[in-house]
Amino acid sequence: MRLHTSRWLPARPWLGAQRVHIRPSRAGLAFAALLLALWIAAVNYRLGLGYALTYFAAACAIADMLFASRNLAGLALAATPGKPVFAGSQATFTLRLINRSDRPRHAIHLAVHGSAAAPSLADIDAHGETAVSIVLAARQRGWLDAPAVRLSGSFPLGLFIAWCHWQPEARVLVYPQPEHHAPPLPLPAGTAEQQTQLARQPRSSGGALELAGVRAYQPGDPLQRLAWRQIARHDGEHVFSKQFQPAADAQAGAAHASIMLEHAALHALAPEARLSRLAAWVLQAERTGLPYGLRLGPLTLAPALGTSQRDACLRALALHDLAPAQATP
Amino acid sequence: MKTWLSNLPRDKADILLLLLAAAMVLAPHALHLPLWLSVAAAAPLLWRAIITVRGRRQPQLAVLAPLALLGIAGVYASYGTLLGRDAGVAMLALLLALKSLEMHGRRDIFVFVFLSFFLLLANFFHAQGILSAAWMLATVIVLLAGLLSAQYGAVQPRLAQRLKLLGRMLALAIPLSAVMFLAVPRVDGPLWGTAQEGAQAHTGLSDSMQPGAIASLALSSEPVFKARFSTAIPPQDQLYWRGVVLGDYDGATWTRRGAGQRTPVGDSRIDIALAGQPSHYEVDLQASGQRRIFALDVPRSIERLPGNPYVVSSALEVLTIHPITSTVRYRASSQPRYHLQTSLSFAQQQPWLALPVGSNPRSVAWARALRGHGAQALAPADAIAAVLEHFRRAPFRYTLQPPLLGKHGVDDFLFTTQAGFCEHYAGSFVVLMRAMGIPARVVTGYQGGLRNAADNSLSVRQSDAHAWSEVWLAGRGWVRVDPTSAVAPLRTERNLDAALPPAPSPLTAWRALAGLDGGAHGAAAAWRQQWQQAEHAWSSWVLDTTPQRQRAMLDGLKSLPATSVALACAVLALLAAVAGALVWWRQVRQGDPLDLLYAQFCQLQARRGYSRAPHEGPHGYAVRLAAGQATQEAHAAIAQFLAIYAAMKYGNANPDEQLRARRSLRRLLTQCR
Repeated sequence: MRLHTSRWLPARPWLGAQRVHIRPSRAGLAFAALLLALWIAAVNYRLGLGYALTYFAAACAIADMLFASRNLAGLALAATPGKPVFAGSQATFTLRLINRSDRPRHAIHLAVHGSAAAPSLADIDAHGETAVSIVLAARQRGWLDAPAVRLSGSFPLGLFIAWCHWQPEARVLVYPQPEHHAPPLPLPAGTAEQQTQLARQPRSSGGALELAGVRAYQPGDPLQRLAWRQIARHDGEHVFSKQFQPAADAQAGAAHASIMLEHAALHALAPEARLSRLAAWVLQAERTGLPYGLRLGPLTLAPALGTSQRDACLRALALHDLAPAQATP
Repeated sequence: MKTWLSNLPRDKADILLLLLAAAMVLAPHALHLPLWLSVAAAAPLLWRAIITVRGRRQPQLAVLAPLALLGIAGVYASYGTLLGRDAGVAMLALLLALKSLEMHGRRDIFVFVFLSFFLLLANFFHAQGILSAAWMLATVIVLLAGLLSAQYGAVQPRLAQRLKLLGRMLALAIPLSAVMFLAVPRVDGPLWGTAQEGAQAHTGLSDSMQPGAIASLALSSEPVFKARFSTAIPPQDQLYWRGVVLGDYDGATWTRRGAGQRTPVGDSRIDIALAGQPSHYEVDLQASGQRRIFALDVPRSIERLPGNPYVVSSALEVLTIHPITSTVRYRASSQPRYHLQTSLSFAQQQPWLALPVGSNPRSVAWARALRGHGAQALAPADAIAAVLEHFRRAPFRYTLQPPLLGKHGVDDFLFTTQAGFCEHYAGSFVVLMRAMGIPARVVTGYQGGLRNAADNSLSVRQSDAHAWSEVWLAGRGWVRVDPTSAVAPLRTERNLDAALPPAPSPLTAWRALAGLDGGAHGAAAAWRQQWQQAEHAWSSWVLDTTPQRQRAMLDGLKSLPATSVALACAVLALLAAVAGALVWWRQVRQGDPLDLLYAQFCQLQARRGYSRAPHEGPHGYAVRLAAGQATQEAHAAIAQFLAIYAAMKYGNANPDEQLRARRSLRRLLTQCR
């Protein structure tokens, strides 16, 4: 359903007047009946001022229609990318309603499509903006698109309801749910002693380097080392850089001071369970401070530590083997 | 007080605003409702105000329901019914007042406001003056302010700002309602039944005439009949539709001769000779509940009404046997020249010469002196001319609002007030004639009518009611003399509006009211007169709801010179174009400035031969541009531009950062080529 709506909903960042729909509210229909009654009384009793009052009330309703539509029209909409979450928790989208006009907007209801939750109410000052957070359960790994929302309002007189649909351009990355009580990290023998040793050893930058894998781009990485192929294959927005290691002790150092998490080694588990376990291990390795790498099909992430390594690994796990439509924006 | 009001919590202030509106709606009704009802309607409003300010709970339904029943019983006791207009208005007033004690949600507020609108209209049953309109406008503004205040979300601006918004809405609504008032086709009511209880309920000529009787008809636009001519319509000043002939005078009121006793008039032969071009026409007469049918002076033949025969009196009044209770149609023909009762015996003249003893002594003396005695006495025709000349010369005014007259009404009118409507002129003229010894009588009926060229017809309305005189001259019989035409020739030549003091157009009425016409002298009196003129214009431009009046208004527009119409159209078109351009420009500007900058950047690069593919994001585009041909500085600028753009577009920058980013983007844009 959600996917369906997102296909036809326009994603333009601001609301043109032609995107705002309008219809009389229930009070507006009652008002129409009132106008009819007033008109009949004016005709039957030949009241000149009765006509004047009837037409004045009708004109006020027309003005209300225009103002109700103007209350929404011209509003700029933006969505802030949400932080990645693990499957099974709640993803938060922050939608920004931006008012670039001189008139304040009032009493705008923002309701999520297909959600029974009460709509949130927003007021936006002239030249101001208001952020509205909507929360959505993240059920499965991969990209979670923001749901289509409905903006509506019956301000100023409540006789007409103006509304529009908006598909925010935002998505949240949902990591695989880490396995509960996952088995300990598959440490190769002797790693524990060498780990501390390695930590003291400064990383040598000289000598012959060989490609050890790619990792998420970090400020300071030279431009020449950008891993274009991976960037292009990934999504074009997240940047990776190639990771090189001194050729001589690459095998020995890497093998003893770090751990390589192999997707292929877990062939005994179901596909999703494998990813869950790997996610749990990534978190575990990060906690213990043991540099870790990930080998996931054709993608190899060289061992490293830190939040960016963690995020790159979880991201790779989240997007592993997904259909291209879901894996790329 | 002011600080107390502004410190009031919002919901309380909203309720108080609505209560104020309800009080404004009900206040004019207090003039017409029974006293107990006015008190009973004011009490709940006051109660609710106290509840609101003190923060108490609203009364339970168990308290309100008996109160409502008590109110209904009271209305029944006062009016004897619960149906009908006045009882209905009383019930609505009570309902509105009690509803104020039972307002919980937004829905109740809508009900409250809608009820108020209806009561606002009900007020026009009693008064439709300029002041009523001003009061209505003020009430609607307070009412809408109350409704508006209830519609705000979490943030409600100050009252002044709310009123400003309302003002902007009204700036749109008021011209719109004026256009609707002018242009929406009118329906000639009533839609069903007859609105007997309407403000001008069943007006029409009666069998008597006292000062003010015809003037009260003059404001009524109720149609009386419509005459379709198969021959040419006679000139306007010959369109005298004969109604009632009044011969008996008691010093204040004119009545039909012998109204008391029934005299068989049907069989008496009428001595009449007709001449002139006959007119043939067909009359659609509205139901009047009276026994009179109308024909042009003087009828030659009138078709019989089926089941309701008529008789013609010797004074040429046409009376049916049964009252006319539904619209009837009859063919008639008339001839303009006639000799009616050329020979009256002395005894037959006497009833038309009688004057009450001792009444209007000054007028009688003046008339006798004017005619003279014995050999120097003026011939009757000269005497008539002398009196008409006096009306023409002396500063007589023709007005709908004549001052009140005392015991000797004709004396007061002729020598003191000198301001009156047609019945004053006709009545006093007949008194003067009789004082001179010339048989005379008053005739009432209708004069003129609105011509409709499309079907060669005349529409006659109550406002065309008129009174004139007839004098008997030996050898010529009864001759029509209309003294009103001596004072206000336009009344008979055209119509009532033309004859009344100049104020038929709202603009001139406004100018008069505002004192723009140099009305600085005699401040109070001048103001009173100007106010009267404004009220007359008001009643003919606003209160007259007939389709005919609307057509007349539109015809007035049509008769404007072509150049000024063209100029107005040009100005309107120009305004519309400017407004449209403004809206378009604002819409264009409303786009995200960041997107506009990016679009400019892409355009710039496209001109260099690197147009952005539709699927390309800023990162991909950056990669491709970095591989392309450009100077070192341009490469740097391009990379920086796209990096900043992406950070602003997809990052979470605060408005201040965005502003600075846009500034650097604009600078970089110049270096990207």
